[in-house]
Amino acid sequence: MKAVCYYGKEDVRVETAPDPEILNPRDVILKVTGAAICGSDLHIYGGYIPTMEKGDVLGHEFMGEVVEVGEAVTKLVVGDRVVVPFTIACGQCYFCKQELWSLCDNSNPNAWMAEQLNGFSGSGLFGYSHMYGGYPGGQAEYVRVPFADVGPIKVPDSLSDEQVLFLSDIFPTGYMAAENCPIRPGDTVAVWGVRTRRTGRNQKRLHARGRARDRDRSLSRAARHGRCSRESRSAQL
Amino acid sequence: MSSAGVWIGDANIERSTVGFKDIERWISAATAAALLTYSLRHRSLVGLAAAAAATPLAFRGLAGRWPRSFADETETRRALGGDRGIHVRESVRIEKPLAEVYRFWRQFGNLPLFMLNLERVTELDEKRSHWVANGPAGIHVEWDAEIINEVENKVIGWRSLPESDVVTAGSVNFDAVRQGSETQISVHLQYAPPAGKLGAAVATIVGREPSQTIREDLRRLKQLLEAGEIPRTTSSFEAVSRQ
Repeated sequence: MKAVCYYGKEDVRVETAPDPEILNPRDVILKVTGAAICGSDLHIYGGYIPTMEKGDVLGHEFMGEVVEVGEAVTKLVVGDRVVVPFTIACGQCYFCKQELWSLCDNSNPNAWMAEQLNGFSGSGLFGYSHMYGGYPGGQAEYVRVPFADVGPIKVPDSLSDEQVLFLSDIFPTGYMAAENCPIRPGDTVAVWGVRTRRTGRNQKRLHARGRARDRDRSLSRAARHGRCSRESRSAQL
Repeated sequence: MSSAGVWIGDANIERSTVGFKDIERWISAATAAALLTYSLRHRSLVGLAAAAAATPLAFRGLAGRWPRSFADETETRRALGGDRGIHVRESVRIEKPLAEVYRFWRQFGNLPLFMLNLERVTELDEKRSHWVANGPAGIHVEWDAEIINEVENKVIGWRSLPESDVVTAGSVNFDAVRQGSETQISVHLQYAPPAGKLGAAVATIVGREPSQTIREDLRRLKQLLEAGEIPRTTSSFEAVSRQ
């Protein structure tokens, strides 16, 4: 399959990568129908993320159609359309039971690496270094999604890809920021770095100047009235 | 911070201090140095094997005799009494009831599912079992063990029987925590492998010290019991860097 692959600092190419396979009973394989590029991908692109290897497939904001289902998967069948959150969560550890998906104890096979660097590890992540599991990402034709009954959100036919793709990371990230503030009806809020976050450098500069870049009404409106998936709590990147 | 996923560990590793005497020892030491250089360049299974091979040579080079455990230390009490041998203590908390965790562990045939160095464990009778592990350079290490202490849902203690390849003893404690919703498993492992304490020291250099191995084994047990599977990726990077 074709995939967006990391080849080194400021060197990302569309190359042929191995097709994903079902490796564990709770896996599904998706045919990717949409994927976004995140501001966090720029950290990788800029060479700031350790334990990236040549040939790693990028992409942690994606959606697609289920084409293969592992034997232990109960909630998804072939043909389902799903959006996939970037955090991989087992659904059964202490943290998952508290809906703290990004802290999942069991989804990162390389947790020891993150522990050596940070003292602790978070959950596994798609396309975001070996320290976070080395899972091939979704900027590809196909992608393997582990623990598929936990993360993926089924999408009804009435919604288009463009309407739901950002539930994978961008929307819940903003939502969580609003939730953490915490924003209440009537508040005036200033939001830095909206419009899909631009580059990390740009954001930092704006923060440093302490200047309000934009005021995003839709975000505060979402925080007041909107409903959001449980993945909102796990947004970290 | 929750204690789930918190590790407690220490490996008790000492160094030997000795002097030089004859030519034969210099040859041993030089060979050991070459193997060690190789192992440091190749931090992999082959590297580990080279390091393991270097250890007795290095010992002989430095001490002028083969490590004692090569010869006659097959009796667990003599080898492991007091603070002798290498001690590894690790623990993990698992989001499952105590009885379920205990039952899983007590079927020793399950242990190779999460202990990567174990190839198989066969229960011979109520007390005795036969263990086969993968040693350095693909050789099999085998031993018989007997349970010396067992309290259901509380503790299992064991030791290797005389005439084994390795001399080992240990215990695993099971405690209900967080109102019984979690089980804490605490492993205390003692061993005197063929290469002795120096072997563990060398393995530390190679990046595979015993407490890390046990810690990863317990992590896999947690993954298996909680998530029902051990996470995997297609990437070869993981396998290469773990070995």
